[in-house]
Amino acid sequence: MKGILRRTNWPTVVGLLLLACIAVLLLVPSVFPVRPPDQVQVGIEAGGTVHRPPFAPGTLGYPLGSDLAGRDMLSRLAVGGRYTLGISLLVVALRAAVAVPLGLFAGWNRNWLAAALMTLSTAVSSIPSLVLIVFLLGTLSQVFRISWRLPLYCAVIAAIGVPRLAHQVAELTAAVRSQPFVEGAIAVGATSGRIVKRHVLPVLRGDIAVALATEVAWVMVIMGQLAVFDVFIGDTTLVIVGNRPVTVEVIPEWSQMMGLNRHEVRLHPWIPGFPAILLGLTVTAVHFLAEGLRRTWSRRRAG
Amino acid sequence: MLWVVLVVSTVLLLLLPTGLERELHPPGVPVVTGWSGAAYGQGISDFLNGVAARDLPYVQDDGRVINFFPYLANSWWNSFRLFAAVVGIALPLGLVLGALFVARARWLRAAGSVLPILGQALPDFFLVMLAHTIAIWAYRVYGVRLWPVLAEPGVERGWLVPMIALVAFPAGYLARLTAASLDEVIHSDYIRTARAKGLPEWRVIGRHALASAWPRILSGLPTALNMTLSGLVVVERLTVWPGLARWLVPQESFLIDSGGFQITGIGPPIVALTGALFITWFVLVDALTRSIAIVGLKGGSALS
Repeated sequence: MKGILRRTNWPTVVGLLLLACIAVLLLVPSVFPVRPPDQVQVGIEAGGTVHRPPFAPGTLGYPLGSDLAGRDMLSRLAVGGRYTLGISLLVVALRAAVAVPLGLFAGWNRNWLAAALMTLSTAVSSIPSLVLIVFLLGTLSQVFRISWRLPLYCAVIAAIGVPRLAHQVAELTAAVRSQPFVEGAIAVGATSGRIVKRHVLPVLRGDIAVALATEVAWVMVIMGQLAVFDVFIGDTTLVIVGNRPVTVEVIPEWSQMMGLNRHEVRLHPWIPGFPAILLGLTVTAVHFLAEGLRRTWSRRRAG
Repeated sequence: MLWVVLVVSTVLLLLLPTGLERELHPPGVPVVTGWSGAAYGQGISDFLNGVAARDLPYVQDDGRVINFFPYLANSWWNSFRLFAAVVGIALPLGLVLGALFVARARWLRAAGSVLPILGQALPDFFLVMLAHTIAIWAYRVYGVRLWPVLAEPGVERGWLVPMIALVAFPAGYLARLTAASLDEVIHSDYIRTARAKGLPEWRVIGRHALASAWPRILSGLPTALNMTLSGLVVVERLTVWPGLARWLVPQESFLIDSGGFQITGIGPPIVALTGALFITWFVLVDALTRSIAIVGLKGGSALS
């Protein structure tokens, strides 16, 4: 028993458990009948009085409460998770699609590109990503059409991380390049492309997987931080509740729900609180998974 | 693998019941936007002239234009105080947590393994929102005021929540770096000799192992400090701390014709100023830590 406990990869277990909990939430609309996420409810009559939104969690048939426009938080959180995860995975895939080949090429050839990547990586790292992204988005959104806002958002976040990831891959590649099995492959006349594909990439697979898992977490953190500065993918709209106009988000994306409603934390803490907690837990889960992956890979490498 | 991620993310986005279609093709009046290099250059020029004349106009949330030059020093001082306090706590905390990783007691090792991951994993905005939510819940249910929750700028100021949110990452990062460095040297012969001589464990780790691990820990310092600075603006904004982030709100941008739609972004002058300061800071810290590391290696008391 002690041996099993000692061998258990705890970070992976914790990460998977957290992700399973989040997956259950994401599946709620597919399994149980819930209100549509964009159904506005400006008032509910119960007990002879008209209740105005936001409705507190566990009241009037809202398990997790409602937002300022009376929209069901449970269904919005469930749908919002798909946005947040979908966008963060897409951003990391874009980042990897550029950075991994670039890093492999630079690390293998060890030429000016590797030096340029290192310089660029240091330069980009020295300015907070948040400030750079907001500046680039603000500037580029004036150049491109408004309908390009979502692709632009993904592209800018992806681009900011490319130099760092490419530099990381280049360093790993350069380390593997000096290994005897690579020198052997060069000696028997294999082409560079074949060596990178057949010998270098399989060795780096684990390290790159760990780096990409960590990148997913970082992208979600950046999305949350951007939302705090009112930078998010969707529009906002004005809804009249009673006599009071309230500004709410259109798309139920977690970081946007948290950022736009952050001032509600004193009066209606569940509105920004639930999305923030879910976003935080997802980031934590991905970090734990990355750590678990790193340990698994180290053990495998150690034999 | 990459293709799997691409397909999964695309499917996730395509399966969305609302929003994406509307987001890609928003209804309403056609929006005409344009970019003007001349307007941008004029903005930078105005900014430099403003610095020379000590007069930097700033558009507030309520539309009023104020001169933010006099506030700049005060904001930087407030940000610096918070940053200095965070660094002062995070550095020793990171070293202690990292040292726990190589301790002999199993529960200490477990703490040294889990706490740094948590510190790195929990985002700053999550910690602030969680702290606010807990404080409000405690006040509503038990009538207890745990810590201040800010409503309006300057109404209340609490150190605890910003400190916790900001200390977590650098402490966790340095702890993991310390743990990795100590793990490499802890099985060395000189450590075994020190233990065999009967030295207490804290002295073996603190005096001998840490001395060899020091250069590698220092090499990670610029990254840790830079990430702390990034988090600083977010935490300041969420806790309404009267620091630098106050000026990093969306600014009027260089739009030729917005067609009724206002696209906002941080003003280039603010970014230029912040970027220059961050780069200067990064270069200084990087140079400082590298020189300390070189001196440490040359001294190399534990290795020699």
